[in-house]
Amino acid sequence: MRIIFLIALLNCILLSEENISVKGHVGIEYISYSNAQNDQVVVSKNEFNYKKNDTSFLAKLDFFYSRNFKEKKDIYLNELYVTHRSGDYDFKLGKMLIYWGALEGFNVTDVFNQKNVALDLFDKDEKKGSWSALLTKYNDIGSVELGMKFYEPDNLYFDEESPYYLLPVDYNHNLQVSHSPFSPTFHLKYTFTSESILESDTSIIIQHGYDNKRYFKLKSDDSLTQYAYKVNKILLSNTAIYEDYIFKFEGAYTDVIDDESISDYGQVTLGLEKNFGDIGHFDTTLYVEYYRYLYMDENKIENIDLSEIYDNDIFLATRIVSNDVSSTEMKLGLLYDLKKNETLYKLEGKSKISDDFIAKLEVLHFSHSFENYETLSDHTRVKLSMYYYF
Amino acid sequence: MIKWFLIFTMMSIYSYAQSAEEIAKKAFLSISGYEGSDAVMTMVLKSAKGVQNKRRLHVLRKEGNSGDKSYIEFLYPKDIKGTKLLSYEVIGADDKQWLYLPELKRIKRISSRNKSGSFVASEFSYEDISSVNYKNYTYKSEVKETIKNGKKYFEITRIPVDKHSGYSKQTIWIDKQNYLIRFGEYYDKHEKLLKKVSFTEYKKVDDIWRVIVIDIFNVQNHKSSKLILEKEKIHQNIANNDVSKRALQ
Repeated sequence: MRIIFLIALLNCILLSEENISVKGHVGIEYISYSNAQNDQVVVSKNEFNYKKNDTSFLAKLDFFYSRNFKEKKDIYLNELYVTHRSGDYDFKLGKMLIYWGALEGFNVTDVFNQKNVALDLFDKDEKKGSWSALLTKYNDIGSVELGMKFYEPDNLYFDEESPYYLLPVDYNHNLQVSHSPFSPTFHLKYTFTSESILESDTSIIIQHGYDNKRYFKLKSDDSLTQYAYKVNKILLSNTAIYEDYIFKFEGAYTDVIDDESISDYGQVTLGLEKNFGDIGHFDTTLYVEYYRYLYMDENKIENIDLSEIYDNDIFLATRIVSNDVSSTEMKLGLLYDLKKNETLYKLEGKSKISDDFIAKLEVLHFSHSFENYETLSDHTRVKLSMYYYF
Repeated sequence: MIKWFLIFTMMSIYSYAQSAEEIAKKAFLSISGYEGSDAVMTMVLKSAKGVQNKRRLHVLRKEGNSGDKSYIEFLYPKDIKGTKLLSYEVIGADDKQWLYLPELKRIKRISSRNKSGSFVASEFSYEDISSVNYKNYTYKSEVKETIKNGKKYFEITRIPVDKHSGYSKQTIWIDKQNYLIRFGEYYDKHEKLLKKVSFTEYKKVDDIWRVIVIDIFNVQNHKSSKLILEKEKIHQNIANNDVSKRALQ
């Protein structure tokens, strides 16, 4: 708790500086699991921005203190980078998060950062910052970006008492790699907006380096560790508008270049978003998405990564927002595996108590047929939270 | 006496000679020519029970022949601070819009087809905020001269060009002296009165009128909103980069 006070003090000091802006929230989460002991977590997320002329600095410091699970007793300096703008060029250097996808349920193109499974297995956007450099050139229709990720970090995993500890043996968080962990990963991204057939935004990304996926390897001490291998990857993300429909496509093809046991693979995801406008004073949007994996060699290892639970799955969701002073919002989603009958239901709601306080509710139910992950049993998770925003 | 009669007659002929569209064009031109605008606005939302809530916005606008470009960054409330909306106006058709959500660090393309949807949970719809260009409407030929609160107004009825507008028609009252829109009554698709708008306060800056306060009241749900221009600098050199996707990141 002393850390919370120190962070709050730092926020107060920095808020008095003219060129610095501070924002974030602090709150408490009460989490009830149907298959594990309940938990209470104190959370503080803080963003510091400093801007002078064409240069800006950003730092994000997240703090978690869980009563019961050690993976949530941590401080993450998840982002720390400098941005310099010069004419049509942007240069970024530091630890950063980058998202390339546009679908709501799962993004095959969000491969820049590793997922931080220890924080929330079911939150696709909970990622770990990566030390990187980016150079972006902007023009009238889009941009060209050259990026380099310097380092592959170790991966923390769940507490053995956690309902999400999936492994039959001990976990060793030291990442094993096919080359040095300092061997860089490069990407080249071309983004453009087009109006030729449909109004659309497109990104094409070529990547060379470590795959975002990992698989588990048994070490000599009988513990499991994650293993990273190198790939060439091409990614495509497209969002197109036709009348009041938004069509989304994300695709990837991965050529595994230094691991004989892993098959090359392709990923295809399709999405449709439609806003129905005001229905009974609630702004209502519907999302339909489909995710598919394609393995090029059936004799090699498949399903090496937890993200591949999104294979032959359909995602249906709705977002309802009340147009009132409380800005009440509700999201209801269903992820259904067409092949294995696995289902994940999730309900998220939030409402303002006052301008600065927000209450949130999340109900999640997961039922599956994993043969390899017996410890992750069918369960329901209910999370009640209250946050103060500053 | 004859002189005053002649002046009155000439003024009457002049006013009747103006079409509704000409009057609307003059109203538009009276607030145009700012080239680039850098402003901070506050929006006060009021529920039917009188509960109030505030929004604070930083708005950049750049005038263009084919439509204005605008960039809106939310400064308050704190939970959505840093959310940004980029809009490219397309006269008579759907605008192009992108939304940046700082928590997700994603730029989302959004559909602007639903023009009647609430803008940041207020009683202003997106088209209330954006459709200031007179070309976005056709006009009924009749121009009435009416007196409200002792002042003379042109009363004209305009119909949105965009078939996806949330309105069937709008009746507006334009001050005869300075061609400023002062009041409006907006009708829903079923031609029932939906909103009453008052352009309560204007200020003249460098010979251009800028609207300072707009009040809007939804007569169907009894909620209201007020938009206040806290500060604004006009004739700003807003670069294309400042109203582009680059500015969102």
